[in-house]
Amino acid sequence: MAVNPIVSSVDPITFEILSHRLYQIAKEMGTALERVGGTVNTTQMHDYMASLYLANGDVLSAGDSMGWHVACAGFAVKRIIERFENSSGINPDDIFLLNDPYLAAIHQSDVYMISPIHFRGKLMGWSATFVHVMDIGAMSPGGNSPGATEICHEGIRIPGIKLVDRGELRKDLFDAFINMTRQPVMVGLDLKCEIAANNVAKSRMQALFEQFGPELVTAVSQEMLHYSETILRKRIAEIPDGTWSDSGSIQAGDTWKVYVTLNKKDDRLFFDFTGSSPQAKKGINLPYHATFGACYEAILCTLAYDLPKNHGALKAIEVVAPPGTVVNPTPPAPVSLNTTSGGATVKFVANSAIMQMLATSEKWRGEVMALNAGHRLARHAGVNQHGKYYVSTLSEGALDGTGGRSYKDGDDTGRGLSCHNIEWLEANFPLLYLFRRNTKGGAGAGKFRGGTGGESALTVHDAPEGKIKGVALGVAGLRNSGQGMFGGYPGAPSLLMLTEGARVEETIAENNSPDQLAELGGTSKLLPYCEFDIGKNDVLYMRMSSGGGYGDPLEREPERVLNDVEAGIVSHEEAREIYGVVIDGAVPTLDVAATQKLRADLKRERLRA
Amino acid sequence: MTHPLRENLAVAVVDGVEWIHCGKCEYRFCRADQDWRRFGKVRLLPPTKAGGLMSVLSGDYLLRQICCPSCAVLLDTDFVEEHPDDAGRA
Repeated sequence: MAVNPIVSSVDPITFEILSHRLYQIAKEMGTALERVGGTVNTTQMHDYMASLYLANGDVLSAGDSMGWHVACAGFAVKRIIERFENSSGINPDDIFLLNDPYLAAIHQSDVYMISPIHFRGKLMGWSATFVHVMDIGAMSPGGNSPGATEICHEGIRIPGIKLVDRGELRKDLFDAFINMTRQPVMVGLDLKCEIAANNVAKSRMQALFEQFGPELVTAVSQEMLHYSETILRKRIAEIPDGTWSDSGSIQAGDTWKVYVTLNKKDDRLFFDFTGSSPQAKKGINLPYHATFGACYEAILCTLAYDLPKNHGALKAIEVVAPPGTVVNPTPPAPVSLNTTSGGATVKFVANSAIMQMLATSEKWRGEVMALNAGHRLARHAGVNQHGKYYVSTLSEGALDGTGGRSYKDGDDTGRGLSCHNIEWLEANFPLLYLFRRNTKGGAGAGKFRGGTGGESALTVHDAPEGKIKGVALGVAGLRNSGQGMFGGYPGAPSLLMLTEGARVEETIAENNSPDQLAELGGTSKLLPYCEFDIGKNDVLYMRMSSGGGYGDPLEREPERVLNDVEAGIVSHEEAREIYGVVIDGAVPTLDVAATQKLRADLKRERLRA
Repeated sequence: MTHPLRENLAVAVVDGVEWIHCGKCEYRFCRADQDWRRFGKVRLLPPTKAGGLMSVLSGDYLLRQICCPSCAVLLDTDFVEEHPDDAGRA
């Protein structure tokens, strides 16, 4: 039997059993969110978090949740302890609600529910969840408000309330909260799925304490943190010391910059965002805890991907973000757009610095991949075909292509969150999809290419008011694209485009498929962060970012290029000009000799520049 | 003693000094405390050289490539602002 050399106070089998049990409890919390919840954000996009915490608020065990929310919820637990331990108290079966971005949330739509876990009257730990609620009473339906210039425009902001008092739902507070939103029933369901998930956590943890005893569970918990911290520090120490930096820009009308310098010394990582732009009067700002959480997530996805996700991994990192900047704003700076702007940019630069660092390690360089710098999606709201007002999400952002890796191509679609089901959407909302498919010609070239990304188009159908409202989210141009790595090309940028007055119904009436936008006519415009109306015969086109490539495209195996041409991902012309691969014939055939000559010519051309 | 710096670049110690060199042809770029990009072969191209869907970037960005001056292996590809006042990615 292999003996775990790091875990000393608990026998290794018990450690494995209980640490996996704690992980499974966090996962089961997520399942409860999905089964009880009813909105697309929770049930299909998986835009939620569910985790367990120690009595002091340190992360104990995260399920398959977004890493930055895991860290942010740790801040939320600590803020609840500070607020309530000396006032109305923290009692068994209480559940607290917090969504203040200046305390712990990323933006107000992310509503955290935090529940103490007691055993035989003693506080043993906490569970916490968040879901991105469907509305939060902000200027714009869905919460993300392009017109907001201060946080008071962005909806309800709760620094902490006791929503469930000793097991009793405080209906006065519950009703007050949901009635400040555009969609009380669905937001109420959002809140109740969080209550359910926290109840699952409490039930399972109390059963665990009963079965194994609180002393053993506590000992295993401490060993889990020790294990993750020890392994992570060892891995960091294996990498040569050094300093790496990158910058990104947030283009949303004006331009704001985010700078990061990563310093690696011995077994510690130090992220410094000094030099980043002053905070904006637009909701792109990312609160400090979210900037910290983004760095934590970057570590989780690279050096710590296989370790228990807990506070141990936080101890090896330090994050400096000057107050009053886009990466650590102060009130009243708005924040509602930040996940698709400041958040995406901070994640990108933090991950970029990590990738540069990993590339210097013979052991870790295989983990390097090209990164995506953006995220884009849209909300939609109006009266549906069933006569009811609604707010919902077009979660096409999940169709981003991922970057090429040091050993394989990126995934064509499938970044982060999940994408909604089209038939479900059409059954519930007055929308009709014209197509959803992989994008052709967008993948960043490289020794290993980026993922293609996806594209969708839809129109309004059977809307009682003839139109609905949309909210477009995502920064402009290149800053919303996969970035190339080590010679690999950037992928095509994402965009949202509205075409008004297109020949949609006419095309369908002619028994033709309206899947070629150029043939539909109409007047098109790109959508920055904005609200817009979409009506009959208007088309919303959403192209998500393609992944960036990894390495020199002239080093890509010609057979892979041939496969891409056959699949329509790369054109014959791009195969020649970018990859130096010659493919001839009606049945695409690789010309090996011509390819060798063309690649030599292209290299000479590089040197003539 | 050698360790990688990135794909196709490495750091090697020669006579007690760390140098950055090409991993393909061993061309010596510069000392390790210098920015190797300044010693590479640079060319600026229209954005559409990276594919037709890049046309939305035309007029604002140029495709910048940096390769080894000796063997021409491509080391870095990025978009840079066509207008120097823009605050784009460094």
